[in-house]
Amino acid sequence: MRYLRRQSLNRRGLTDRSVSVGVSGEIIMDRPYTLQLPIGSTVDRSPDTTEPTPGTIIPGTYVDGMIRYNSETDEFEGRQAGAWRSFRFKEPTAIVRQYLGVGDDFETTFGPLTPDPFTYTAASEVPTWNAEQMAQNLIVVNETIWQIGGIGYDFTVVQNPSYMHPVGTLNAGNPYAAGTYIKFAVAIATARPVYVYHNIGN
Amino acid sequence: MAIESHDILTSNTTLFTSVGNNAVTTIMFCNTAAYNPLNPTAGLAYLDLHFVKNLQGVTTTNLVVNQIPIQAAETFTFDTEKIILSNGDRVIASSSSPATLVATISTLEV
Repeated sequence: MRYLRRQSLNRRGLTDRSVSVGVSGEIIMDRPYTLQLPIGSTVDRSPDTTEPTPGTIIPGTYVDGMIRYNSETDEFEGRQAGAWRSFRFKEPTAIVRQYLGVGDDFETTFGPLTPDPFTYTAASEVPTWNAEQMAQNLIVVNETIWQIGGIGYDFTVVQNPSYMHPVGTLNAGNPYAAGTYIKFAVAIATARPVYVYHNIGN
Repeated sequence: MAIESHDILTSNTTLFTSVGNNAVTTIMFCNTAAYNPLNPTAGLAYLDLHFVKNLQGVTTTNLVVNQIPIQAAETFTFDTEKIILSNGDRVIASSSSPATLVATISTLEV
């Protein structure tokens, strides 16, 4: 006796559906216990290989949708959009407060930002992770005044400024160090401190 | 006769009555209900199967398949077990509601 369409791992247990493939190909795990994922270090992931024939999956080839537990990082990780990413849980991410110095009535550009928002991987629900979106994700305070980020607002984000420190500043005429900066629409008044808060909303 | 096909009712349905000696080679049961992936249990029917000796009635004593679930669009085969029937012996099946099961039985005169 056997079913033709349903396939079970237990060939002797006709009604055993602890792990089976249903009539339309869906995988069924019909027990209230647990699913043990593959566990291994980062190098245990076999390297990327090229498919010689379209549609052929070679063992070791990464495919979006794979999941495993990384024993090196102690993180669940999954393959998403061509990259391995760790799963996020509901715990909040630590907010980082960064002091960017004080104004001098001339300087409009403060930084570089640490962490650099350009190194973040955009969440899938963020359509475009660009300077405009980064500015909206940052909380910037000029002394006690909240600054609104975004084009046409109080500040924008610039990467590796191509211009020099403005006249009137200590470094006038010199280039900025490589990195990502806050660029205010107007110069910050003398002695006013600038703070940026990272990871808000993460 | 090589094969017979029958709708299986919710009451006892005779699939085959042996005339002389016959071997049942295969019985295939198919649930004709459409499979709905959003509701996999829709159309699920349970099958009972009896091999009934001549002049005897349908009882649990001659039950050989007890409430086997057959999902919509699924086929269940009784093909490994070979049963010899003598004259008057019957193969009888019944289904739970909905009565969407059909059966095809193949026999060989011996």
